[in-house]
Amino acid sequence: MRVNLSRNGDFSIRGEWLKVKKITVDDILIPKLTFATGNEAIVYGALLANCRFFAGYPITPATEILEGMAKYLPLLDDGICLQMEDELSSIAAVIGASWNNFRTMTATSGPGFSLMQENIGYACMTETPCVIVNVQRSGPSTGQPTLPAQGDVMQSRWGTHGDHYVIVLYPNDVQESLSLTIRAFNLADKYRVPVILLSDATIAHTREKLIIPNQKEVEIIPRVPVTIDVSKYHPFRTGFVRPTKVPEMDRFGDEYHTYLTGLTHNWKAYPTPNDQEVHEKLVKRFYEKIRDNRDDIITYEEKYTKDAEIIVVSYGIPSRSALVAVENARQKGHKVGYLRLITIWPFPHKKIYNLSLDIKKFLVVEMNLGQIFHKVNEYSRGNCEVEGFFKIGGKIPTPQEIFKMIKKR
Amino acid sequence: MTSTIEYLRNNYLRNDLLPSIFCPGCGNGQIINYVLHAIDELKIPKNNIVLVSGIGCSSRIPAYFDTDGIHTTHGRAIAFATGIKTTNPKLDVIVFTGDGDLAAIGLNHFLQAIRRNIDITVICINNENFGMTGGQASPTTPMGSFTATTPYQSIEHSFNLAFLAKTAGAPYVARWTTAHSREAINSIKKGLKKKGFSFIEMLSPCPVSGKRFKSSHEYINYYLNNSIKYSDKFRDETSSHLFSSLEECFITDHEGKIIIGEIVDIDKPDFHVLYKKLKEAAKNEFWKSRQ
Amino acid sequence: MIIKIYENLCKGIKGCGNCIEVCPKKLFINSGNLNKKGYILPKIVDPNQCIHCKKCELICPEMAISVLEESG
Repeated sequence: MRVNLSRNGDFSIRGEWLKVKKITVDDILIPKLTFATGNEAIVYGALLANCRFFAGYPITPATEILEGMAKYLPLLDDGICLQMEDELSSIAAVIGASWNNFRTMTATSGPGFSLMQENIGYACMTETPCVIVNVQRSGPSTGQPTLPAQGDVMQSRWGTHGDHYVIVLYPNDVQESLSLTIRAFNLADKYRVPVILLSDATIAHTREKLIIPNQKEVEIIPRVPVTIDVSKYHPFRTGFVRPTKVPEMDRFGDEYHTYLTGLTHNWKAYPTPNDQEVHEKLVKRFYEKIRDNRDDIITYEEKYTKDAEIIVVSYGIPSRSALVAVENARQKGHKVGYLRLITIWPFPHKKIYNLSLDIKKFLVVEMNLGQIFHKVNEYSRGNCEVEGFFKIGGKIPTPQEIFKMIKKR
Repeated sequence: MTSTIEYLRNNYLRNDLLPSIFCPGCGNGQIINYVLHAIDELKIPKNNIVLVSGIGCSSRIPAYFDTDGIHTTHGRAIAFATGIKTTNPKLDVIVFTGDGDLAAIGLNHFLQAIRRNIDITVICINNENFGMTGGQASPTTPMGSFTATTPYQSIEHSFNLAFLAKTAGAPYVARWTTAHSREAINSIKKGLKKKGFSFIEMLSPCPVSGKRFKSSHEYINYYLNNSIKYSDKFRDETSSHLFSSLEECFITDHEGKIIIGEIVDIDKPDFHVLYKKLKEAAKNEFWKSRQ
Repeated sequence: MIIKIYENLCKGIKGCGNCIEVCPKKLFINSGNLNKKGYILPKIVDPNQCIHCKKCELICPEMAISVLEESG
């Protein structure tokens, strides 16, 4: 499908578009069973989740998300897709647009994700919901642009400076890329935080079965708007209308006047950069609004852990090898369990601790030189041994390799 | 009966934050004054205004307005404004930015927003140095100036931001100094009304960090007596200060005349109109392809 | 003509002094008085000479001067 603006009756067809029948997401996607790549699934998930603003910059292996959004968003009445000049401005535009009550997203890979860090911190500070997709590739620096890696797991948690909290999700197949994208938007709006959706070059480019749901079936948890009397409104007042640490969210262009700043601000949103108490209260609230709701946010997949002596902990693409290895090992009589993290941050520390009490060993499989390994080590509190199987360079750990590690005593 | 100033202050500003944090004689206060006059004379509803700023002294301006405002990260104000304006083209988006914010760290966003012709009004408060950090050289510091980071004179050529905007294709460009009150107000009004990117560069005193003068009234005097009206004969001046030769730049206490005036005022379709057209056309095609 | 200087807002004639500079009638002078924050305030010599050009009102960075035309 190609549109030629000059052939379309010059530039004077203003107003006529109202006559053109509105296009819905279902018209575009047509709920069906199909084959799709992980990147395509993220695009579909975003459209189904009512994401209507996307700003991005081409980068391998995330480009297809920008391309997909550029193809579909202009068809939707309030959809806008911008190809920005860099990742710095992509995330900036995404944060700005979010304040017009838009669900917004950007997608990038390692180098672009590094550039976005400052503004991710800004989104944390101003409590702006947005979704950032990081399709991981090997680093540091330009690294291996077309190959998968999991080197950004710690960066996604601690990339921007200062104490902050973000939510990080990580699918391991195409179907989950779609469902977690929708969940990412819901969590972002519910807790007013940037949500980072990690993926990797393999999930992004693997074409496999995908069920595209009807938009009616998709659960949308919208952000809570401001309804209070204008004279009582303050942008960062919490616990006044609802018993929660998440403030209600205003939009630009209405009678509520919202001033946002990246400086430490009080509940009136006035900058108070020299006030220790205000800063402590503010930043602690960022932590508490996530930590108090860990049970709602944290998800993981757990198999064969009841009688397990060894539990293989993995996430993302290596978890698929891990599951095969675990099942093979069980057939051969090894008591092995499988734990896959779906929410990476906040970290499921209770789960790791509880499991550690009854087992001999955690085997952490990662495509980096040990990042989640240290977290597992920390929360198993010495109750069991923690071993890592780390493989970098763009090759996914094979079931055989993981099986060998399981067998090794 | 209340005076104009009192009315503007009570109606548009957060009075509990006044007096401002700006140093005595800082031009930022004058910019607030001029913008207030402009939006009041145009009768723009307060609820429709979004003020965007980056980092720097001038970027603290939106805090004082009782409107929506967003004080963003260093250099990215225009990128934030792009997101805000494209998703709600009905808003009146004004960007306050300093010369360091706009021309050093954020220059690319400035040029790209002009290229896209986003309908925002960018007011650059150009004090020709980094005021907040104590007077370091900025891309608009005139050649030969002494600053905290150019203790032996600056040898770098400076940017002429207004001409840069003109070259990039902005439909409205003007440069004034804070001494030219009425002209500035009129330009801000024109910029707000202009469909498309409008750029108003305001040369502004920095009596504290700036090394030129120690008091704002000396700046005002200098601006009034050393400015020269823009005309077609100024085409490729790379600096906002006119020097006849390279040697002249390095004469201490010689600043050259400042080119001021309305530099561009043309009409060209803005991003939002074109995007709407694109959407219409794409939708038409979509249904055609589904038949 | 009523020219009012809001003393709590004024940041003094030392760093600023714009009003003294722009008044075509030279009606603003150093008052020698300090406000609460220690800034030296200007004062108006003869308000009756004011020609209502409002230059002081526009040029004041603190919006601390208001010129009100007496009606009637």
